[in-house]
Amino acid sequence: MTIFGGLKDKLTLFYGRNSAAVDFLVRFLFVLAEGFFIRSALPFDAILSHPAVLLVLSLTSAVLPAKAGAVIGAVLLTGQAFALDLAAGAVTFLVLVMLYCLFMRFAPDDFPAAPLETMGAYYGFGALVPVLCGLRRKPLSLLTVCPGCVCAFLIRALSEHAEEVRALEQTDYMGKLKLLIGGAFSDELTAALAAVIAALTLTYLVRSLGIRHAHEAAVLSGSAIYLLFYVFGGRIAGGSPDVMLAAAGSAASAAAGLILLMVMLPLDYRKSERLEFEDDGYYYYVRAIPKAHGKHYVGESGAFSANTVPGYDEPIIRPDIDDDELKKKLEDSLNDL
Amino acid sequence: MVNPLRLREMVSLASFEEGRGRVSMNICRYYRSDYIAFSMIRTFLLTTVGLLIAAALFAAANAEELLDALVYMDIPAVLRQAAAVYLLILSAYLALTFVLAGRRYKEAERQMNDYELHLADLRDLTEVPYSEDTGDDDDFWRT
Repeated sequence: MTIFGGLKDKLTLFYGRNSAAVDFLVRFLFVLAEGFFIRSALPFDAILSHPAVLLVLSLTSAVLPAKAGAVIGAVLLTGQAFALDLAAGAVTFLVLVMLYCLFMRFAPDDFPAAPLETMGAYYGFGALVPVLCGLRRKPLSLLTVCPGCVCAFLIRALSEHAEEVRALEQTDYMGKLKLLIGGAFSDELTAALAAVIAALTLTYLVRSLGIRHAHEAAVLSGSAIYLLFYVFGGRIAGGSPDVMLAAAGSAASAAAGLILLMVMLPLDYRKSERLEFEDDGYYYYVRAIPKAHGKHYVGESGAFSANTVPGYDEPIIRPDIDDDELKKKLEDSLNDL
Repeated sequence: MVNPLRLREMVSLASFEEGRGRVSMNICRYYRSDYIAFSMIRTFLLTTVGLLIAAALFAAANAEELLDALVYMDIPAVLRQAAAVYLLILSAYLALTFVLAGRRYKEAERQMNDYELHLADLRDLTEVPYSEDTGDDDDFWRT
């Protein structure tokens, strides 16, 4: 525990000193990883997937807002699909536009959950992003995570049916569309979406309970319910999900979530929360109140006091006090002294 | 002499203006009702486009079955059902947008109030001369 506490302090200090460089590097590496993931999952000969182009795109996105990473990922994916076939490209483009119109535009800008979930679900770590979103975000994050899951199945369909699409006649567009859309929007996708929704919702609910070790319980229950829904849902849907891979992915997601919990203090800074943590000498039972709730509150004593704040969960606005009157009062009290 | 309190306020304000404050400032340029109405119009257009694409993809994936069924299909009834589903989904999206846009506006307003309070603090710090010894203003108390 102390090791993780020290690591957190060091990381915070390092980030405080080099935040601009770290942000740049993280965005650059994120888009580069995204590009190489799409290139490896869909190994078609498109100019966009050339390493030099990927490098330039990653560098460009590093200086743009975080949302640019998702947009560049979408462009790369569409480019690779067009390299496979015109119909595949059209399907990919339309699916991405539909996901944006119906879901992604409600998503918060600052968190690249969709590309991360795409990569995670593709490699079998589909539980990680929903669990982390349940820990740190609100259930509305589902609108970002679910499209990521859909993209993973779309990429899988493109990759699995590539040879069949190529074998079809050039003008057999309906056959290609049926193959790709049917492959992407399968019953297995429904099971995976149900697993994502269950994992994120359960994680959020358990961590909001205010019980002992709520955050740890949330990580474990979220990962477990994902596994349950993914395996049994997939079976019910008529698929054959890889149980070992799903179990390994869920276990890895739970482990990653627990490590992140130790490094970060799990606060969302929007409401008061009960926390429990420990070091070598003490257990801490803490009630954390965001400063924003009491920052401008001036009680009768002239200072913020938790005991005088009526209800921690409501934002408190400083009462209208005339500055001249306040100065006069201060002067009077000083004169009395 | 550099006043560290003022410097801290200025850095915090600049960081807000360049970061999350940019969105809040954009939102607060509108009246609340205008912002919500604009969001709902955008939702109407984008949801319609999204649902049209979804319908087109569904039709493309099931084209053969649909063409076979077309002969026996009661087309007006199917169109009525489709319109009902469209209106239901659209209403849900519009309601969601109404709630979200209202919340977003409220949050932006709260941030802008906070920003203005900090601006007022900065103004006070600018008016008051700074003394390094006490970390505060001596002349202020004498006057």
